[in-house]
Amino acid sequence: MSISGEKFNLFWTKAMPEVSAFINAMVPDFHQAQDLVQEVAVVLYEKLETYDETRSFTAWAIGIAKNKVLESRRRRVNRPMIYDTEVIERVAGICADMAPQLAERMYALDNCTKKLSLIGRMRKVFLLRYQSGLPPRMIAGRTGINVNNVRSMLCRIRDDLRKCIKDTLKKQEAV
Amino acid sequence: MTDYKELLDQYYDGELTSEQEAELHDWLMKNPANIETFIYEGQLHSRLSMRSEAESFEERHGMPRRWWNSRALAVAATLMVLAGLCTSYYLYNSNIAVLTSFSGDVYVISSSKPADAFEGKRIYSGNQVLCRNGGSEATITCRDGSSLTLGPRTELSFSVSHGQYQSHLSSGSVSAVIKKQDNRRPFIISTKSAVATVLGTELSLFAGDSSTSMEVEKGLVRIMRLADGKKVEVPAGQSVVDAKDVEFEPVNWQWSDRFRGGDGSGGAGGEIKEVSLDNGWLENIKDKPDK
Repeated sequence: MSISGEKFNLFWTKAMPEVSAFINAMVPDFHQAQDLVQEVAVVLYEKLETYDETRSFTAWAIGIAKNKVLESRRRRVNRPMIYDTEVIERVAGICADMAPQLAERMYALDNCTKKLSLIGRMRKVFLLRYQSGLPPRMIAGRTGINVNNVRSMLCRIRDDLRKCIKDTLKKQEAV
Repeated sequence: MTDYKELLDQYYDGELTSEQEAELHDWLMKNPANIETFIYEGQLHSRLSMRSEAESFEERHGMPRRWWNSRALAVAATLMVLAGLCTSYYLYNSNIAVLTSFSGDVYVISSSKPADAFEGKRIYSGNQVLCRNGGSEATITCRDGSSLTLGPRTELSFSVSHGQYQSHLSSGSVSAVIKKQDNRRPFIISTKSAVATVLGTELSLFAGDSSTSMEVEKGLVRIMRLADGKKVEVPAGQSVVDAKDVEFEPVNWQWSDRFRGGDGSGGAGGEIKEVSLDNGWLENIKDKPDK
């Protein structure tokens, strides 16, 4: 691995959680968001020579991610996004400063996601929503389950997860 | 968060209308804490997508799902319990008797491997009990309470099939006190030349290479000569001998006692006196050729 490759790995490993958080917030489509994260990584690697090491790599990376989000807005408009540049700026600014909270929260989130118990119809709805990326209306059409029930099932999954995260964070704080 | 949870869900579910988008925009611009919530929600939805991807990967590669795993564990546990029960049931059923007392050189043979006898040794279906020399003796108590006392130089094998005891006396002598048996499943004691069917009685059976002798103290025993299939019923106080030149008919004990050259203590109503072929009990009877 070249010197720049090693350096990039070091920087990217540190910045990736914030960059992902920003992109995941701005791009609700998971697969589209994943693609964007990869695209950002490629750009960062290509432009590494131009990076000013006196500045924050994460801030620089989020700056590039912001441009990528705006670019994707022109490319794909099949899913809603918060298009307002001011909102994008604000979200990017906060993301760059929330590394410690994000790390703590991601740890709780990972643990809680593993604990989720999904069976029967709930699991079917969950997979159609998050694996196939279908919105509740289409899930209702596909499964024959009333759309409000689909929404409430998804809501229950998310609420369980939120509650678990909250409890985990509380326990961490207590420790 | 409580007020805007639904709005955020709709945003991430791709169901936001233009009006709701404007509403969300205003909410985000109002407070930096709202933006933090917005970011956290993005992470939450992203992790749920990752979880679904992982499930899909596991399914594609034949890996059990987490919830299925717990079911598999439950099924495995149930199967193990059932296997345990079946084994216990099998062992209980195959453990057909216990060696209650013995003296001399006595062995219990299973799968052709002789094992030293000890009091309380379990005898399983298919085992053989061997009293090897002249001074050896063993008493076996069956699960139903019947008991068999093996004399010296005796070889007796045991089995149980569908609740029916079957024992084969290859050589030597056995005195048996058989508890009442089910009519459909009598206790069978066979020798090389005869088969005794017992429904509950006290008897003694003596087996040579080609001869059999039986004395009945209580009850009634049906015995069949294998050579010609002739059956006779032997009541209490009588005996029968299956040997060359001897009529296959029940006779009083006193008759057989003559062969023993005994003192009459084995007479009707008395205790069964065990005598083995090797003691010359049938010394006057010439063995028939094998039938």
